[in-house]
Amino acid sequence: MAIPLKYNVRSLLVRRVSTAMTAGGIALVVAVFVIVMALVAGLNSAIADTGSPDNLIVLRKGATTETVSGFQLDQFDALKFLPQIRREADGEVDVSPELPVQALMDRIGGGRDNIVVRGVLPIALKVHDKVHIIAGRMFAPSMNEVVVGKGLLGHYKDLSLGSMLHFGRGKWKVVGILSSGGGSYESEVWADIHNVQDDAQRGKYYAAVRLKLAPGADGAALIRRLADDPRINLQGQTEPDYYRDQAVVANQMRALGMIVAVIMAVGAIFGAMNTMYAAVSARTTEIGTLRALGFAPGAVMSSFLLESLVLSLAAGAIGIMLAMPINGLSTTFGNFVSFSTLAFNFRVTFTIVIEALLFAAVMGVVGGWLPARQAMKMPVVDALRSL
Amino acid sequence: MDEKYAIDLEHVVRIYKRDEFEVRALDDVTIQIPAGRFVAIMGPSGSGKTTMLNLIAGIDHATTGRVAVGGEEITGMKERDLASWRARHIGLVFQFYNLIPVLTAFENVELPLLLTRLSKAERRSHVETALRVVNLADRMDHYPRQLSGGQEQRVAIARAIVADPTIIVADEPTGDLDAKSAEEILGLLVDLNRQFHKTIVMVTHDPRAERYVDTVYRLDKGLLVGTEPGRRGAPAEAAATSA
Ligand SMILES: Nc1ncnc2c1ncn2[C@@H]1O[C@H](COP(=O)(O)OP(=O)(O)OP(=O)(O)O)[C@@H](O)[C@H]1O
Ligand SMILES: [Mg+2]
Repeated sequence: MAIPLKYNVRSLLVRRVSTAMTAGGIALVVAVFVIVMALVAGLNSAIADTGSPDNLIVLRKGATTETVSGFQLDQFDALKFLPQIRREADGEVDVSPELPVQALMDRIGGGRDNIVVRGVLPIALKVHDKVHIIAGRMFAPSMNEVVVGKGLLGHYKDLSLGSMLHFGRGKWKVVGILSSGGGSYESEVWADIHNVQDDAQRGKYYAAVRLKLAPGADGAALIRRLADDPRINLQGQTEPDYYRDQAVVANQMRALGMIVAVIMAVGAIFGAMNTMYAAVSARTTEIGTLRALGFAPGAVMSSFLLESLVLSLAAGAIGIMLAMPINGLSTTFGNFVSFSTLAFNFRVTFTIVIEALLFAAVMGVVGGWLPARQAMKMPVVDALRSL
Repeated sequence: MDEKYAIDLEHVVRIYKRDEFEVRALDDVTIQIPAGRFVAIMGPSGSGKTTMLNLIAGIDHATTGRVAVGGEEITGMKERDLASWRARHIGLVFQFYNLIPVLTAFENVELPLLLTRLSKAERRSHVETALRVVNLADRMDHYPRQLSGGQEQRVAIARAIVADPTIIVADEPTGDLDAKSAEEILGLLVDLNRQFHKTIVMVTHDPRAERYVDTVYRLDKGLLVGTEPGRRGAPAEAAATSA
C-alpha cells in the first residue's frame, strides 16, 4: 500500500502560502487557456452555425471571401434559372444576390468597428433558412430601412429597434432584429440591396449569390456548370466549405492561444518545481523516516508526484472556476479575413474543461518530476541525519 | 552464520568518504546478540553507535564484513528488498521521535501496517492495541505537536512495535527527554523486552540505562572496546561474546 494521500494533502495545507502562490500561478495559466479555448470554440461555432449544407455561395472566380468578390448582373441572370435551384411554391427562385459592404459604427464606450452591412432582397430570408426576424419586421424595399443582428445589440450606439443609424452616406431606420441561431449574420446589418448599391455609388453589381439547392439536386454538377458555362463563369462552394476556409482565423487564434498558454505553463511549471523542491528539502527527515519504516523508494517518488498532481489539479479547478463567468458572454471579434466584426458567445465546453484539467495535470507532473525523483534517490541514512 | 543470534555482525567495517577524507565509523566490529536480549551501545560522540544501529536496521550498508539479522544475511540485499525486510523485521525508535507532523498519533502508528496485507479493521485493532501498550489510547487523534516529548516517544514506540517486528532498534530514545519521561520510556522498553520477548538494541548516553539492560557494548573511535553485563542481573551466559 502506498503512503496515504492525506499525508500529501495535509502537507500542502500546512505550507499554505507557498501552496497558494503556486496554485495561483497554475490557476492563472489554466484560466487563460480556458478563456482562449472558449473564444475559439465560440468563434468556430458562430462560423459553423452560419452555413447550411444545401446552400451554395457563388463568388467571382478566385475570390476567397465575399468582400473581395464582385460580378455583373448578366452573370447573375444566366445562373438564376438553373434547374438545380429550389423554387418556392409561387415559382420564386431561391437565389439571393447579395452585396456586403463595410460600415464603421461607434462602439458603446468608445472606439469604432467595421460592421458588415449586407444588401439583400427579401428572398434572402428564404435562402438563409436559419435567419429569422425576432423583433419588428423585415425592411421595406427602397426605404433606407435595416434589420440588425441581435449580436450587435448592446455593443454599438444607436443600434436598437426604432433608432436611426448613420453610416455610409445616409440615415437608416432600424425596423427589425434578426437572429440566426448563433451564426455570424447576428453580427450584421441587413438592408435593401438597391439602397446599398446607391449608397456605395459603385454601380449595379453583386458581390455574391447565395442559393438553395432543390431537394436531391446534384450540387457538384451545379458547381461545375457555374464554372464551365461561359455566360456564368463563377465559382460555387457549399456554405460549410466556404466557412471552413473562413475558420482559418479561429485556428490561428487557437494556435496563438496555445503558444501563449505553453509559455505561461513553462513559468508555472518552474513555480511548481520550486515549491516541490522546497517541500522535499523541508521534509527530508520525514522522507528518511518513511523510507526507514519500509516504504520503497518508488512509493516516496509516487507520493511526491501525487502531491504535485493534487496541487495542480486543485489549481486547475480554481482556474476553470475563474474563467467560468465568461461562458455565454457575448463579445465581438475583428475577423482578419473579411475585415469585419463578428459577434459571438464564449463557449466553455465540457471538452475544454477536461483539456484544462489535463493541462493542469501535465504542469503538476512535469513540475513535480525532478523533486520527486530527488526524494526517491535520497540515501536513507543521510535523510535521517539531516535533523 | 549462527541461527541462534538475533544479530550477528562479523568483521564489519563502515567507511564514509567525505571529499578526500575517509572516516572509519566502524572498524572491524564483531558482535553476536542472542534473541530476546535488551542491550545498550554506549560510547562518546562520533564513536560509531548510530552507524552500527543503522547497519543492524538495514538502512545503511557495511563497507566490508557481514551483517545477519534474525538469521537472515542482509549484507547484499537490494534496496527494494531491504525496504520490505525492514518493514517486517525492524521497529525503529529515534531520538527526536520522527513522527510525521501532519498525521495523528493513530495515523503515525498505522504507517508500518500500510505495508502489510491487513484489512482496515485489522489495522485499526492493531494500532489501538499498540497505543494501549504505551498507555496512549486516549491520545489517538492528537497530532504530534499536541503531545509532550515523552508522549511523542511513546507514540513512536507504538509505531515501532505495531507490525510485531523481530528487533527494536532505538537511537538515544531518551536523549531529548526529562528524567521522569526517560525513566518511563526505559521502563516501557523493558516491558516490551520481558512481556513480548523483543530483542532491543538501544544506543544511549544515559548512564541510568545500564540498570535496565542485559549487556552494554562500548564503542570508541569505531572500535568495540568493551562488553559488560548490565546491572539488570542478566544470567552470566547471556553476556554476548566479542571476537
Ligand atoms: N553519512 C556520513 N558521511 C560522512 N561521515 C559520517 C556519516 N555518518 C557518520 N559519519 C561519521 O562517522 C563517525 C561515526 O558517526 P556516528 O553517527 O555513528 O556516531 P555516534 O556514535 O552515533 O555519535 P553521536 O553520539 O554524536 O550520535 C563520525 O565521525 C561521523 O562524522
Ligand atoms: Mg548517533
